[in-house]
Amino acid sequence: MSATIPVALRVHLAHAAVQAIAEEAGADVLHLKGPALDGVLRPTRQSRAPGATEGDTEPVPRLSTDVDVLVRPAHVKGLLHALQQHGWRYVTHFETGSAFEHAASLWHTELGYVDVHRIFPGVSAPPKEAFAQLWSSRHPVRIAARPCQVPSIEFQRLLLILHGAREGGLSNPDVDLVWTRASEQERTTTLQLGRELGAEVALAAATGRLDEFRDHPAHDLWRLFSTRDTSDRAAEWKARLKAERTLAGRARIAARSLLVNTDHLAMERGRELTRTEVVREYGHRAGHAARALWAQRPRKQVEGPR
Amino acid sequence: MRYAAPDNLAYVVADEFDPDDENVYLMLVPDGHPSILNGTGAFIFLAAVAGDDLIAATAAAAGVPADEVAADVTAFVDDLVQRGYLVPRPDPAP
Repeated sequence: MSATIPVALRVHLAHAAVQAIAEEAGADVLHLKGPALDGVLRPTRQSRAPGATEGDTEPVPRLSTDVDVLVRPAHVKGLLHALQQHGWRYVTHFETGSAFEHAASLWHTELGYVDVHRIFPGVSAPPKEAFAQLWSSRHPVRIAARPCQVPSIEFQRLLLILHGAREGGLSNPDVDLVWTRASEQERTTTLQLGRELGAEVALAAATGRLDEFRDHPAHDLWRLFSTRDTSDRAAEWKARLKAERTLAGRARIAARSLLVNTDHLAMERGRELTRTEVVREYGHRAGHAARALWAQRPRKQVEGPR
Repeated sequence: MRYAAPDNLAYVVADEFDPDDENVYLMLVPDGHPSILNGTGAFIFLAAVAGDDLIAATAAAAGVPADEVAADVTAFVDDLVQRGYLVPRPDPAP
């Protein structure tokens, strides 16, 4: 027997492996997206089941390239340690993975990537409480014939929309399916759950209502992501600073903005950076920062002819 | 003898996702190596997990007498048991 497995099916095995490791570590995890996504939240196609007739439909399988799990905050460290014990290696850390510092990404040579979420972007409720709510809603599904816990369908809908907030908002196909085409009751439930998890701003960003939160500290950050306008790094850092509620958090973000993201550069280059390359990147960064500051300098008003 | 999938086996029946893929992809979790069962091997494994009489089912699928497949099926199943992909299941009480 050899091992050349389609990535989309390998990820099913990876979910099962991560679940087994979580159980061994005593970690509560909720499986998200991909094979964990309920069929009612996926588009449908003509059924290919034996005996199916014209008009019979089935959910289109959700093709995913990596495992996403949300972990009880108190269990994050234990799960990460256990994953490493079982051969998974860090690709990005929480601080370097995204603007929301929400997930660490690990890689296994035979199973691919797992994104270990400690929070879900858009959810501003305290992580411990947010997870407790999601966990209380859970039910088991079988992924690769192994039982894995997933949030309720209603919470899955919300999380899918919040994810879509970072991927184009209303133009995102998932948001179109599970929000734009949702029933009035489904939308009402989603909004209610969004309030419970402190996700109103991100939900508004995903559903074209961000203007309702014009004065909210997180408005600018969600505007950047929902419109995919993240090419201006200075604007992103500024928005992150504005969204951060604590002084300590802002200091941390400000300090981090000065650092080169060696994790991401290593991913881009397929290898660790050399010391010379890191120094060179800092040089480039200083040059970019200087040019950005110069561009934002106050301009002297020139009076026109009278 | 009947068989079952052990608790630490993860497997994916590929044609549930792609009708052109008749393989079964499986691995012991968390540290096994992903493997592929195709063709007759996939059939026998799935028949085992379903609790079928493997020799009878394989013979019927192949359209041949049971004694023509018995030795091969037995050897294949023994190999799956050796690898940990199947475990013997006690026959139900009479």
